Amino acid sequence: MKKVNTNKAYQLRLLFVFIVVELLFVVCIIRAFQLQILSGSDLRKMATRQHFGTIRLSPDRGIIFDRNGNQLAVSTMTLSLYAHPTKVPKKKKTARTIAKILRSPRQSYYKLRRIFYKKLRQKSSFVWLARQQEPRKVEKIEKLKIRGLGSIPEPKRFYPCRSLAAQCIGYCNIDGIGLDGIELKYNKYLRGKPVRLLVARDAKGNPIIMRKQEAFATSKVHHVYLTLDETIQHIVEEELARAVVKHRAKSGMAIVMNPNTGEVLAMANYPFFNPNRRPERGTSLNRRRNRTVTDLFEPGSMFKPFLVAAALESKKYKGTETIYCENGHFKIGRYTIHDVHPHKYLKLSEVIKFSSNIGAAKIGTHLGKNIVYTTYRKFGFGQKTGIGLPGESPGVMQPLKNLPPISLATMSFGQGIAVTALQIVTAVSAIANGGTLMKPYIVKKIVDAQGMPLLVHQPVRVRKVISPQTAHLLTSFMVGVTSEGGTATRAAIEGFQVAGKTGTSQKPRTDGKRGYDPTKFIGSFVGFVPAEDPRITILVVIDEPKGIPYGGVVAAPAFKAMATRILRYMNVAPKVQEIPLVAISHPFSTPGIVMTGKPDKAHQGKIVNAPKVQKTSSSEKILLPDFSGMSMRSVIRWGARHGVNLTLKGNGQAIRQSPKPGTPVSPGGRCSVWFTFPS
Amino acid sequence: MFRVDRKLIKDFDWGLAGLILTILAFGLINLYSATLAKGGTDHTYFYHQAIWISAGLVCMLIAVAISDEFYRENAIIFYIISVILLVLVDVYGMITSGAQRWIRLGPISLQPSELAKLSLILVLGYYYELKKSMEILPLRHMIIPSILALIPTALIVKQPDLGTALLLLFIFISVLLYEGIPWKAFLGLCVAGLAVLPVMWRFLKPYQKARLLTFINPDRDPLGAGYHIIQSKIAVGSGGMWGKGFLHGTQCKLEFLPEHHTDFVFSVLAEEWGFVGSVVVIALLFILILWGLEVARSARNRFGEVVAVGITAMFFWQIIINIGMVIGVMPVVGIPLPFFSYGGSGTLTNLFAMGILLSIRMRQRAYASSF
Repeated sequence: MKKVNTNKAYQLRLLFVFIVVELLFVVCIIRAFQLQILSGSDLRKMATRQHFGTIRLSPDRGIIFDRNGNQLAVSTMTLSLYAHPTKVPKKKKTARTIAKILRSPRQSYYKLRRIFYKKLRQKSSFVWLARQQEPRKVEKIEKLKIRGLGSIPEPKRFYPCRSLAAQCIGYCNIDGIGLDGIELKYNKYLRGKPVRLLVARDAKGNPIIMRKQEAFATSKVHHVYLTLDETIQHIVEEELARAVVKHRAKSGMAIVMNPNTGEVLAMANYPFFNPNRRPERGTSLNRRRNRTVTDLFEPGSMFKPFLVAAALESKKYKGTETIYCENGHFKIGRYTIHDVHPHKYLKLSEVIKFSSNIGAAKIGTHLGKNIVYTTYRKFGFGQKTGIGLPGESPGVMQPLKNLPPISLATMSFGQGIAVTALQIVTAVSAIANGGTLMKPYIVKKIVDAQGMPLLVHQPVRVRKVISPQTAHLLTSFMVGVTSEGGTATRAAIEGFQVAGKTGTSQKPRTDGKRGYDPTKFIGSFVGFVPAEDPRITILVVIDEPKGIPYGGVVAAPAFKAMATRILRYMNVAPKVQEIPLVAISHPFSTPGIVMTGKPDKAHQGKIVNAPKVQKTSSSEKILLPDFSGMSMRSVIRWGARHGVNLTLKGNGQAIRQSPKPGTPVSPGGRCSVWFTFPS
Repeated sequence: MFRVDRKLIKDFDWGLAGLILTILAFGLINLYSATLAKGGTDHTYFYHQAIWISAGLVCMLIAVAISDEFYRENAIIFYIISVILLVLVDVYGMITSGAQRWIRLGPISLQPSELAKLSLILVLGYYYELKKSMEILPLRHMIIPSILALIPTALIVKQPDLGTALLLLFIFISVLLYEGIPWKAFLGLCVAGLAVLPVMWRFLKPYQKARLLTFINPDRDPLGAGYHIIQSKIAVGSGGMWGKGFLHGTQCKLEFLPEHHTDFVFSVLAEEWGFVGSVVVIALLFILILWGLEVARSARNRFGEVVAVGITAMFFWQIIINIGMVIGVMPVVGIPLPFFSYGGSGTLTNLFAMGILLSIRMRQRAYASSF
């Protein structure tokens, strides 16, 4: 029996117990307050971050078109195969099955099987097995319903024209980010908003919601139209390659510009590279660089017109003077300047026509370094042109201060100065158009997904460099170069007046010693045509040709071949009609209608015959590419270029072809391609 | 054994019973959400728990009907049975989660450590009742209760179930302190406790050490030992003031939160009902504890007092350790939250204990009103 306990110790104990109990509960509430109210928003963010993982997909990218709307770079739909390795049963068998389906000539079954098996054995919860595969193949795998495998649609960059203008267009990485060229410079337009597929994940990292529609609720992309003309580019590349191969040169480059606007119509670097191949299995960085804007070289005699321009503009020369050319040997200090052919007296025009170094040196010395320098700078040398391509170089000019007389003399004929190919074309275009330096540009316009223009580039005049009179006179001097007795008679085109200038320069030694390498040359030719009303300026640079290195020999014929074909393509009529006018317009400018040299009978039904013209070089067999994912237009264009007769069925994107990719076909061979719209 | 008459029913503590039922309802609703993962519709856990609660309420009624005298008279037998069961677990126990805690009796799996808690409380009450005196007992009288407490504790440590073992010790110490011990003994106990700590550290399993270390610094191993506590904090914190709404908690549904229907059930509640919900539940539990203390204070004999204190301490420490763990003020110890966590043995034990409390309360009132 218990008495009611009233003793003091008991009361104290009760109080103590109560305080302890209360204190601990209060601590809990304070802590809850701290977590939920004070740091609630931070923790909420952490929670969101945790269970909404993002899977980065390569975003859809805009199309790069040439000036006529031909596709140069497109996004095709592919499927990327992924796996949750921990969930995949029978890993060895699964690896075997998918390797069998995904194998291709480039990736053998055994290699793939090894890769997949390795990936499936990983402990991670998510791995990409094979990204950006043909939808057809991946769908086949999905039909097998293997546990733990899945796929997400992912766009893949595809260059329908393969190596065409590849260095200029650039390329992307697998995540669809531009790494070079237009792809890099205009990445933010082409890329639009990046696609980050939001997926809820559970704690094991397994994506919970992942439907294909969500993945392709894509961002808005912009399309870029270039000033390049696919056909001109093609002509230029073909002729450039021919010249480089013929002269067993190391490399070559060529640019075609509209001298009146500064639009770049073609920009070629040889050797080519195919951006559709992944870089790691492809080509060295040297091949991928757009050397026409990044690399410097000594222009050599191509510079003489600018010197003569300086002479005429300074009023110190009227154009009728004669210059004593010292019989081929001219001493300045301890240096001697040589001419290839000794001359006694040369008219100003003949200094250009015969490309006399001594004549140029004397004019330069007479003008003084200030005039020479100012004129060169006015022509744009020593500064970036601002064309908007990555890695452009401004060129190198020696400092004006304390310039030794010999340097002024050599600079007068283009030595001791380094320029880019683009600078030369731009400067010569200024002579061609009557004296105005135009800002070169390669992007014609940028349009949004609906085709509304966002940005349209107009021709930009940089400055007046020389007077129209000077330009006119200079042009007539340059016409002399391709006339009888000039250094570049091989650049002459029947029916047209061609103004131009050859250049032959030595390359600096690479073995560390001073001076030039006696065996390495650069042969070049720059010109515009028709001289009286120029439509195109073309520069051809052949690097390290074997044999005779002169620009008039190695580059001038390439110029002629290019110019002849481009003028014909552009429907520029020759003055003297020696060639009967055949109606040859841009063969592929209208989709679906393909013209041959003969009257149009080829395009009947869905059978498209390849034009027989313009095909001179490809008599050997070529391998059929994989058409799948390509547009009909691109397929037609391919067929046209390689002289393969195509039978086209259906509409939309190519899904199937016969014969299979990789089959060799000869020009005139046949290929059937089936198309369908992606569902 | 059963002595229920009309008068007793009149003296039944309806308030305490109502409080228990309210808390039970909260717990069951929350468990419904906690056991639904990934938007699934698997209600198995929920139905199981509902059945357990029903069974538990029956147990509670039985416990209420049993007179306190019966508990006192049979305390030693209960104690011996529970110790035997604990030994049996060692021998025949089935292995779950690396610890032997269960024993199968026909269709039911029993967790003898749950019984041990109650039997220890009863046997302590029996011992104190023997002493009759209301005075503070001298130290030598502490020896027998200590042995009584240490036998089941040691057996449970061996399972190993450190959480329940600690709980047993906490209950014992709480009873000792409530009943009063000499000042010198109290100081001695504190010193001994501090001295034992480093020794205990050596006996801890690596995962237990890791848990204690991560309590001090949760970022030590965020994906390993610290994972539970970090995830729990995120879940609780992301609830904010008003919570994400019933069934809308993401951390639990997406299985970031481990053990979300057992040990970490409170974080589900905190995530979905926010600070407001947490405070309401903590307050209800606080009232329950105070009520238990009131039962102890007003008990008609020392047996009732000690048993009421023991049961209250059992609830109190479970609540504090569990909620403290969930909100990151206590190390991770596997102790479930009474009335909220999923589990059959726990629910039965807790409701049976509440039944004993109600029984003591009812008979005390009847006794008081008989004057």
